[in-house]
Amino acid sequence: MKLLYFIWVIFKKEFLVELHTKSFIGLSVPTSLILIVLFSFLINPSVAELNRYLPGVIWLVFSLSGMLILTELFLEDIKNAVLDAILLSPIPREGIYYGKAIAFSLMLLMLQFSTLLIVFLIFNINFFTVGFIIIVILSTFGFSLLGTLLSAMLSQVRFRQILGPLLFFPLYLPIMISSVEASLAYFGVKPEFGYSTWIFVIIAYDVLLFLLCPWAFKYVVEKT
Amino acid sequence: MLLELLKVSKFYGEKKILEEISFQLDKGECLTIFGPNGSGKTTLLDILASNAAYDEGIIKEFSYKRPIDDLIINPKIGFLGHQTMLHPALTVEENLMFFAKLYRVNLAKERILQLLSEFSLQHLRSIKISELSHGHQKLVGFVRVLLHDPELLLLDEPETGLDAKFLDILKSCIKTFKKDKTIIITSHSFDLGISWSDRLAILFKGKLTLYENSIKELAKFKNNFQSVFGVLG
Repeated sequence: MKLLYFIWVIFKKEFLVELHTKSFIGLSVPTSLILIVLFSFLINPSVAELNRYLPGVIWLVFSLSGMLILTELFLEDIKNAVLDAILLSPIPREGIYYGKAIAFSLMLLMLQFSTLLIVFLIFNINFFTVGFIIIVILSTFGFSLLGTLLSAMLSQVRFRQILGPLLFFPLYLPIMISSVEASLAYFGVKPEFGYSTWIFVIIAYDVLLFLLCPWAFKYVVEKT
Repeated sequence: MLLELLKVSKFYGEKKILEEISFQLDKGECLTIFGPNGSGKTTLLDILASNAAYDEGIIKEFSYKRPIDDLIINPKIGFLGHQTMLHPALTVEENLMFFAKLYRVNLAKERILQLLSEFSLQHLRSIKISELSHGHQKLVGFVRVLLHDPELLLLDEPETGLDAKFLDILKSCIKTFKKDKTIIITSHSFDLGISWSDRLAILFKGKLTLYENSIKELAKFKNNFQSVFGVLG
């Protein structure tokens, strides 16, 4: 219960900061809009091409837009040494990690639902189906679990905008590939590969990140 | 004894930053540590706040012997660093409420209002930290440290960047809070240190020399201060 309380305190603060700065929504939503519109204009895909490639494009847009904000996740806290003050309070380190990761997940989900709305408006394809939403939620959770840890690691590093994707994508690849494959299976493009198999892979990876990342986070934020 | 340090040392690689620091402080005492930049003042406060580990010696806080390699946070300690440690995007009240929740302060809203009025800052409640002057940010930072009513206050150069008006406020606050708290301050200002401390110390090349703030020891302290800083700062 104590941990849940602290997760809630950090979660609330993250949303309050976003409400004031709008740094996440202001950066990632226009980026995803631009990427989808460019795809539509430059490729001008046929219906068959859309069915084949759109799930992959969507995951690419999700990842790139999320990536933009990922390396900045701890920057606001490092300004004025706020993170130091948080670390000096009697909050369990897992509370900081989970609070931030859950807030990041919800912000990413808002981004993704707005991206799916843009896709619906441009291509008239409805991705708001239960099966696809399950993939989105599970992969987003993995994205934010891994992203929060990497963001903390890179927060005081120069060239983090370059290092971020270089470190993030190799580790996120299992979820990204599974999400694309699960989407293709769900929409019947690759029915021979089971939807539930890929969902299981994402869940397994999420559980692994859920357990390992907060443990690693403690060492990342600890001073010596 | 509220705080006891016995031969505490800290290394960065091969370099010895703090060398066998020893002192004791009781409730209601105020110690000001002077020292040139890079002498280890902030490192010492970081260690006392559990923000950094130490390598040798013994630290007893509130009769509890702190293990060398374990950074256990003690909520009875309040730490104000060089920076304000407040979120620039949040308002004064949002910042204070956030930290009050972290420390699980009872009747948080009432406590915040009480402290803001003590510092005459009520009118700034709904203003963002980034929009405040440096002096006001420092005072709000001071309020943040006092929210959970700590018994040991650690203030790292609190006078930096403050003009005469804010220095007067800071001085009177330290004198008020000294009554029921133990305070350790690092400073470069000779006059301020003398005005609010019971004990004085000079940290130079990792070594700490302690003096009582008494007529008898003040001359000795002045001489040492001048030899370290060149002038009375």
